[in-house]
Order: sequence, then structure tokens, then C-alpha cells
Amino acid sequence: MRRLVWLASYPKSGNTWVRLFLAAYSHPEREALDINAIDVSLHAGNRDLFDRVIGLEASELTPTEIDRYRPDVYRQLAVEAEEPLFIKVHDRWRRNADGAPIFPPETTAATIYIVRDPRGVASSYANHYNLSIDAAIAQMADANNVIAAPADRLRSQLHQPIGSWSQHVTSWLDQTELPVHLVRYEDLHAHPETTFAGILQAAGLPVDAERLATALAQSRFERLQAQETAAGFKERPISAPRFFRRGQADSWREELTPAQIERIVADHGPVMARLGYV
Amino acid sequence: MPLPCPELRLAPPGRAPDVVARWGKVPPPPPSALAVGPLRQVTPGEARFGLPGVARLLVRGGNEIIVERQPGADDEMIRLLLLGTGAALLLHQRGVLPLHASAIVAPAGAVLFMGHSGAGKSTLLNEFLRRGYPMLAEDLAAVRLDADGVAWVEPGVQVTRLWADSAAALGQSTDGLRRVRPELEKFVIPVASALATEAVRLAAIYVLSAHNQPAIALEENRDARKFNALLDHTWQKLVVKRMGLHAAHFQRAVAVANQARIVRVSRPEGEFRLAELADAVEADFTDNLRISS
Repeated sequence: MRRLVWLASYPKSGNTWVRLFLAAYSHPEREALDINAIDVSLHAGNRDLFDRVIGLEASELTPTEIDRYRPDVYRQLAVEAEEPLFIKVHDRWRRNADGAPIFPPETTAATIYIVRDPRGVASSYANHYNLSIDAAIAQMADANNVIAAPADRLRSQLHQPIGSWSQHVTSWLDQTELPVHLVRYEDLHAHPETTFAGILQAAGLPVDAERLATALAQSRFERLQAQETAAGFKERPISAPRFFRRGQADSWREELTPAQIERIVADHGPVMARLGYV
Repeated sequence: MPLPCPELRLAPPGRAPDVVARWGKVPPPPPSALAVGPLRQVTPGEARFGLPGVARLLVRGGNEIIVERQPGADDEMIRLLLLGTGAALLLHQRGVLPLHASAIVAPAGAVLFMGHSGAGKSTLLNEFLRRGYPMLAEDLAAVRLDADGVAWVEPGVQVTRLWADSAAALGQSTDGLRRVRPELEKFVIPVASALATEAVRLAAIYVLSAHNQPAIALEENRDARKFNALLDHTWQKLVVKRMGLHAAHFQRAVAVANQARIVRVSRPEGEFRLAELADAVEADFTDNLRISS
């Protein structure tokens, strides 16, 4: 039953990179990593998955009702999974109206929380959602920020409350239902071997040095970017010029103005300090 | 029917109903029943669906639905369960393929717009109604094979349902229209154009999806991809195996795949470009389908 590995993060924090690495590591028999392969894109906010498992369309339900049944969706996945199942999550950790955690502890093999310096998130977030950097910074401070918020139209994903960047981090790190393996995006860059090996260990996978090296090479940023250039990437929003943009930990130093940096630190200083960013 | 369903048309006078839905007590499932997700339990002859706070449904024999109302449930939600989940379970029991699709009648036969929630089935349907095509079904298209293996699409509901943004794109005012549920910006739209009253031979299926490219693209599916598209868009597909129906279901899907033109339609995400999309689909079924006499 404990088959699910949550890959949780605020958007634009390296989640896709980690998923692609894990896909490459889990399938050493494949000669190359295909960034558009179907089995690397399981997403907790997937509407079709909900509809299939629950037998009633989420498009007929209110957000409160959808949240009531989301834990059941994951329970069903856990029952059916024959090997660890990696699931991308952008929701902040929370309970539904019945008091049940959205991500059921009894289905959980591991929880990997990937965090990135919010100064690095800002310009990537702006690119992804086609916003100015200032607008991105404002959303990152918005306690009511929701991906695919309910509106006058049907959104392609289920609603996913993410809150502010600081709220997102503390929601996952301070909850007590799921033990969390914390990964910093910056460490994925600075110490890839040990950091990715740590993720494998936390997920309960055997660490094989040769497979690790191959998977790291296959999921190198330049390779992902080259694949996107050649064949596109289906997770790129239509408004974003590219998904794999710069792949650097500290490009914010040249992308943000001093005022923008100051504002992010003012918004998120305490949580940044907790993670060693200031 | 246990409650008024303006979505459905009346049976012709003097004809016995195919299906009876009534209020009643739903007994607990037998020990042999298999769970399908958290809300459904099925056996080969019976399917139960229970939504806490709304209702429990017992669908059996392909001709009966018993509805046990829960305290405080509203009629809208019960109607949604009956006409969505309940109808799809019933069609499986009747040996009819319930596709997640809307349908119109074109000169060459029934044309279906198939896709997951949000793909644009109802919006495209309404655009074609406006172009003068009769309506055949919305959201759920029942495809039946006759004794010769020919696929027919049965007439379905007689209303359409649109989210506010789609209604606006169609120039359809939502003033005074009933909402599907009070909490949702989704409206029940009466159909002003012609409604098909008889089954129509299946001609083509357009599988709608969004992609992150700037152009609308149509690509004909071949071989296994046709079959997979049908399985992927079958309503209540998880119950099929557990009801012991998968062999028959696969055979039906193969038969349908072999006689329908199936085309994948990809549109840029976030924008509908309705007229352009409908033009492309209309040109495809006008140019590629033979009109049977």
C-alpha cells in the first residue's frame, strides 16, 4: 500500500528535473530519456485521473467536494501500483474539510520536498506564466494563490492551492503526517551525485553508482534543453517561450533588480534564513 | 423517473419504457462485489455507486436504476448522477458503448466530438448546431452495434451544458438560464435547433485535445490508435473489467474502430478559435466521408 512517492515543490523549483532523473534511473533498459514519455508525467492535479477513479466528473463538483475525494484517488493509485510511483505535487500540504490529509500517509512510501531560493524561482515563474518579474514576485507573496483556480471556465487541471512561497515551504516542512526528505535545488546543481543519491535512498530505491551516473548524464540540463529544441516538451505552457530555460542556480543575480531582490527578502526572509538562503 | 429530468425526452406514447428509474432502498452489495475506486461496487449484473450526502444508485440488469436519496441532497446533484454515472453503467450492462462524446448528424452520418472534460465537446457541438446540423447527443454518446455489426449512435439528452466562457464565445447569453449546480458557472442551454429522434449510423469521431503549438492540427488515427482512443474515452472504463465485460467491450471497440473515421484534433491550449476549428472539422467530414444513400 505504501507505494507513492510525492515529489512536492512550489512551481519552478526543479520538480520536473528530478522526475526526469528518476525516470531515467528507473529505466536503465531505455537507451535514452524521452522527456515526452507518458510515464514521467503523473501529476497530483490531473483531472482525468480523478474522473476515472471516482467515477464522477470533477467538472460537476465544487472545490470542497473535489478535495474530499482526492485522498481516495491516491489510495486507489497506491492499491494498483506494483512499484514506487512518483507523483508531482504543487499543492501546499493541507487537509480537506473532513480533516483528512489530501496526501494520505498510509499510501506514502516517501515525500521528497524540493525547495529553491525564491529569488531563483521569480524569473523562472515569470517566464512560465508569462508574467512580469514584479507580477511573479507579487504572486509568490499571495496567500491565496491557486493553480487552476475555479472560474467561469473549466481548467485543464484540478484547483491546487499553493499559497505564498513561504507558506508552501512551511506547510510541507512543518506538517507531522509525512516524514519529508528535503532537497535544495541549488544542491542538485552543486553536488548532483550525492543529492540525487539521497533522493534515491529516501525513495527506497537501491543506489547503483553506474546507473546513477548514466541517469545523471541522461537528465543533464543541456540534454533536456536540446530535446525540447528538437521535439518540443508537452508540459511547456503555450505562452512560455521554453520550459528548460537556463537551468542555473544563481542566474537571478543578473535577472533581478536590487529592488526586486530586496522585496523577495522582505517577503520571505524568515523562511529563506531557515533554508540557508540568507 | 424519480424526479423531473428535462434533459430527457418522453417515450413515444404506447411504448413501454426501456429503463425504469425509481426511488427505493439500495441493499448493501453482495460479498462477491468488487470495489472500483472508493464509490463503486460491481458484480456482473449489478453496479452500485454511492456519493455520500447525495444518493446511492443501484443499476441492474440494464433496465433498472434504484435511487436512495440521502438526507439533504439536492435534485440537481441526483440528476447529474442519474444522467452521468448511472446512465453510463446502465449502457455497459446493455452492451452499448458509452463514449465520452457529443454528436451531431451530418449528411454522411453521425459525427462525434470526443474528449476528456474541458476538451471542448459541448462548445464545438453548439457551434455545429448553430450551423444547422441536428443534435444527436451531448457528453455521452451511446454507440450500439446491430446484428450485422453496424455501429449506430442513439439519440441522447436534449439540452447542452456550457461553461460561462464558452457561452460568451458563442454569443449565448446566460441570463435567466438554470445552472447545472448553483455553485458552478456552468449553464443548461436549451437546444433551439433540430433534434435527431432516431439512431444514426456512425460515420466519424473527432478526438479533441489541446496542445502547446500555435496551429490547429488534424491527424487521422490508424490501427491500434483508433482502438485505444475509444477505450480511453469510454465512460466508466474502470468498471468494465470488474463487471466481466471486457472481452465484449474490446470486441465492440474493435468493431467501431474498423468502421469509423477517427481523427485527432489538436488546438492551441487556452484559446478556442471556434470558427476555425469548426471549419477544419467540417471540411474533414465533408471531404472524407461518403454519403450513403
